[in-house]
Amino acid sequence: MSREALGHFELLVLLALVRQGDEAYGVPIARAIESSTGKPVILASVYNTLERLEEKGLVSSTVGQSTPERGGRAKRYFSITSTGVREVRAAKKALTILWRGIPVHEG
Amino acid sequence: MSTSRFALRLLTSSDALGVREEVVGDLLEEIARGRSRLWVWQQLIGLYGGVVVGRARRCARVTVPAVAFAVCVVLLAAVRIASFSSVFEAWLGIYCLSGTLSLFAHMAARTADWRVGVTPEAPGATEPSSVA
Repeated sequence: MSREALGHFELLVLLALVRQGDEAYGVPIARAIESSTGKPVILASVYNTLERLEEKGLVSSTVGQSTPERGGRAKRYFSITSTGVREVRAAKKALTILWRGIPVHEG
Repeated sequence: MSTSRFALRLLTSSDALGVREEVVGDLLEEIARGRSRLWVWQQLIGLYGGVVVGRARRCARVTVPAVAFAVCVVLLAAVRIASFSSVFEAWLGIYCLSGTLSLFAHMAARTADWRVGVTPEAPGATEPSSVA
């Protein structure tokens, strides 16, 4: 695991990214988080988080095509790196261990 | 409900503020898909809020003196218009009010942290027995 631990929102973004597969960009990632948490998500904060994750080497990105409905602006597709997968697994393991032995919240 | 022209203008002009083109593109795409005005304004406030906070953080050395300078200018201008005592009373009132609000906000933030067991001073908060 890297020295910096994953934040809550970072973990949500990474998990949403894994669920979206190859076609992951800001909108579907934000929608996935919104549907799982039931709270509105600010798209700019998703991109800020993705940028931070990219700096940490957990995510990589490629620039896609621009379309007229986007005002000629290109999409940026994101994918999780092998380091990112390791971090998600480590976070899951840590959370699972912490959840054990808390009877009220189990199930 | 259609998005107002003002919101669209704000969005398209945010490129000049250094907002990434993919963010603006995604928002334009979502607006074209028929997102509500409320959603668009939430996104715009988040977008511009992030820009302002980011700039303030990058220019912290400039921001604090600039704010102090602006306050001094306002106070001097107020003294020119009203009496010194009334300006001083008004300034004292604002200072006490903002200080009190800041104190309550700090206390609320600390209470929230304590409830989720973030604060090290609250060891019982993270223990299983206390959750049950």
